[in-house]
Amino acid sequence: MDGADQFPSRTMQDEHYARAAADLGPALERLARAYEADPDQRRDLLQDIHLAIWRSFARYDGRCSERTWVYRVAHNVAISHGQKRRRSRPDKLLTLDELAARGDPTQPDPEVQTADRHALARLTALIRALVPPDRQIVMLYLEGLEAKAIAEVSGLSPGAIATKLHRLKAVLANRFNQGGPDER
Amino acid sequence: MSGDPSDFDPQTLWQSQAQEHEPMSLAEIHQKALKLERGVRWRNIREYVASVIVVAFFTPVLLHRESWMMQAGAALIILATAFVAWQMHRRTATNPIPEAGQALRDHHRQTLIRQRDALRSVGWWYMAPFAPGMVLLMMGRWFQSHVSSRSLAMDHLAILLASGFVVLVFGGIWWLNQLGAKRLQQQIDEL
Repeated sequence: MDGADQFPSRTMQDEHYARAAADLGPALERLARAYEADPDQRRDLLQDIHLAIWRSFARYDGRCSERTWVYRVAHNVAISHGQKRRRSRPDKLLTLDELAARGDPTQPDPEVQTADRHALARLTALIRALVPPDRQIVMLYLEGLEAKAIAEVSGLSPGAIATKLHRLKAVLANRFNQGGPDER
Repeated sequence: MSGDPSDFDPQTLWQSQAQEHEPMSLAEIHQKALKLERGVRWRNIREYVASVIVVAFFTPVLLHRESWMMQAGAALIILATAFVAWQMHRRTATNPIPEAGQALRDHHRQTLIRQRDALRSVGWWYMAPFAPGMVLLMMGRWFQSHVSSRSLAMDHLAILLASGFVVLVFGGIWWLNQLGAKRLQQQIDEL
């Protein structure tokens, strides 16, 4: 038994979910990776995200695109997960502005030190060091969303998103290409 | 602006990550949803059982005929237990769940505000309801009901120590919650 009778619009809900999982499954996995370093916790987070997306489609009203809806739900679940984790492991998170102004926050992390030259590991560590609102914008940008779409998902104005993306690109260029403080 | 350098494309790098996990099947999703609902049901049952234990603990005091203050105190504590159980049920039932599809900024802010308010108000909905009953209970012990095997002075000392302990525990819980609320307020201000 799987409790199927408890949900009135199960077929539509399943269809929405199946389409979203097929289209955005890899992006959701990357999202979980950016929020959670521990592999077991990451698997749990990913499952929670999928479950939340499926449940959410029971009340999806079509006022935004499925992609926007899925990203909102996924990030909201990941944020709640991150808040619970931070209570037991309170790290200082940074805004994009703080990140631009100071040295590489990933340096003290032993996991990153061993993979110091690995750009993806460094990019992931950089994302994890950000405060949730900035982290979401960075990830949505990395997934290839335009500023307007990021604004729709995040609830910020397109102007605010453009400013943050400008800052982000400068930070990335500084750290990954032009011999930032981590390129020692 | 620096722009993306030609030899480093963060979007391509990010999207080129290999997948670690197989996607969940619909059957697995349905199973997990059922498990979640069972979990919520069990959490509610645990809370009700805890309330029943408190009520069972104070019910004998209701029959303690030599002190009307203790009887009234026990009755108030039982009422307070029911009130707190109702509050907890109401508060957990109305929590906005992440799958509401809210914009990220709104969800994040509302989550923090909800947590802050819960911590700030813990004094009135979780602690204050027990105060009248506790005070009456202690007054009943002080004025109307003494342990015969102890001297009056020693009995009063025991009551004072017990009262002080209760005040310390309640005060400590309140203080920790206010501290947590203050930290959350800082996070809200930073948004």
